[in-house]
Amino acid sequence: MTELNDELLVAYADGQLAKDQSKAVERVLEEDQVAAQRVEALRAANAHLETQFEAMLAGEPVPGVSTDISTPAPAKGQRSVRRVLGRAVLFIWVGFGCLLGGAAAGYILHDQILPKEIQIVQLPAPPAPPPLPAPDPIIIRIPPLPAPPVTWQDDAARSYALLSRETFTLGLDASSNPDLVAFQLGKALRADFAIPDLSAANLTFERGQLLQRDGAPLAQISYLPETGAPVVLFVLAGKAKALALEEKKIEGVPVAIWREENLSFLLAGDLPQEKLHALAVTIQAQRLLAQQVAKDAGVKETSPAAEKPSEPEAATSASTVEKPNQQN
Amino acid sequence: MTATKRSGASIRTKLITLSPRLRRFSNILSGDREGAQALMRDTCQNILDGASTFPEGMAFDLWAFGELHSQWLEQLRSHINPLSKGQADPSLFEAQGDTHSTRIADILAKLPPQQRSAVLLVYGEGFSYDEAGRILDTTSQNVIARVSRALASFVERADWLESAAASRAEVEHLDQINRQAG
Repeated sequence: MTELNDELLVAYADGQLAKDQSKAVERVLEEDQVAAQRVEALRAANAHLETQFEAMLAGEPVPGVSTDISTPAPAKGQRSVRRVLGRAVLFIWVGFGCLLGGAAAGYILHDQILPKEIQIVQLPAPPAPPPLPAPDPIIIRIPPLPAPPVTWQDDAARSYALLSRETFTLGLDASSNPDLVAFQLGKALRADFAIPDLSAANLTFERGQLLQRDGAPLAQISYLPETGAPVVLFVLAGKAKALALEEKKIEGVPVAIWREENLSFLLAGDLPQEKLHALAVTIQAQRLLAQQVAKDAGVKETSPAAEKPSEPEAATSASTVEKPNQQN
Repeated sequence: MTATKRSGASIRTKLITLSPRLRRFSNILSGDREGAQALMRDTCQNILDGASTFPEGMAFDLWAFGELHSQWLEQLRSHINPLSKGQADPSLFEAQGDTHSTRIADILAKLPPQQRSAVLLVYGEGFSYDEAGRILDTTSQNVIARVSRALASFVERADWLESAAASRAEVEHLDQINRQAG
């Protein structure tokens, strides 16, 4: 009688023995019904476990990324591929042992079967296998991940980032004077600046406020129509390439954006695109006109490069300007 | 987009795709629902935070499974008495409404987590003994030993194997009758 231990039988049943070792085990199993039944039982247990693990995976929620493959990962496919490759290229770590059951068994083991229980031997590396044919490519199309929903906390944090000390400490005395508002904002922006007059579109200037972005002054000029949502013009100081007027939506808000040499503009309002465009063109025209008038009068335009960076005091003097009494 | 951001996005996508398999491994290792959730959460957090770097050229699943196992060991070490955790919850391992599956789940729950994880990696995930050894930070010989002991536990309860085989034969027989009937 020959006894093969479970570890060897499991490795055999799993197909993880080298070819010659598998053949040697098969020869033993042909003679030893008990061992053969044991292998069958182990294989059955193995198969039941595979089914069980698949069932566990089937109960899992589908991940947030959909692919052409309905199951999350091809564990089965990996298995067979890995085994084939593993057998082909890996060193064989599993020796196997058997105990001879005595002369009565009358079975003579080949010399590659070790006389004791499992011994780990490192056999010389098998010759390099022929290159495998290139497998068919598996194409997995992964759509872009949906953007996480924007929470009110996100919005609040963003608006907080725009505030600075200057936003609150200045300019209350100038609230009734739109010219002074323009002067103060212009000084902070280090550019000629007049509050655009949008009264022709029934928009009333309400407030000018100085915010900041990455330390650069950002003017916020708010208008209110007779009814409906406000329209707000943002002006950011800083050298930039001129950019033509463009309308689009940012996070669902209709905006018109354009740039001059030293100022970037964004006009935001819940308005139809053509109306927003018309307002932006009006602002551009008024600025051009103001620049022309200044040129004709011989007033040298403020150059950010020539002017010293505004002192904190100067910058802060133009901050919050409340609604003037008269309409623009 | 920077290379770091691209790499981060790629890892995130791979992690999402792999998450059902990782969660199954987490259930098998932890053996209780709460512990498995914490294990999964901490592992994903570590991976996304870049607490350990994904080595180039390594299979992502192999690395991620190894990370989850390391995290489990960490949690086990921080537990006051790891041996007091008791038997695993079999409902974590069973397919609903299948009595045969319930029986297998019961046996799985009685196995030590090392044996459960070894059989999952080899039979559920299809990793070779060597790969399973890398994930479990042990030798392939130990993996074989754990797998064979786990299978022996199943074989010892041969009654369920026989009943499963009988019920399967019965189902196949009924299928055959149905096919013949049209």
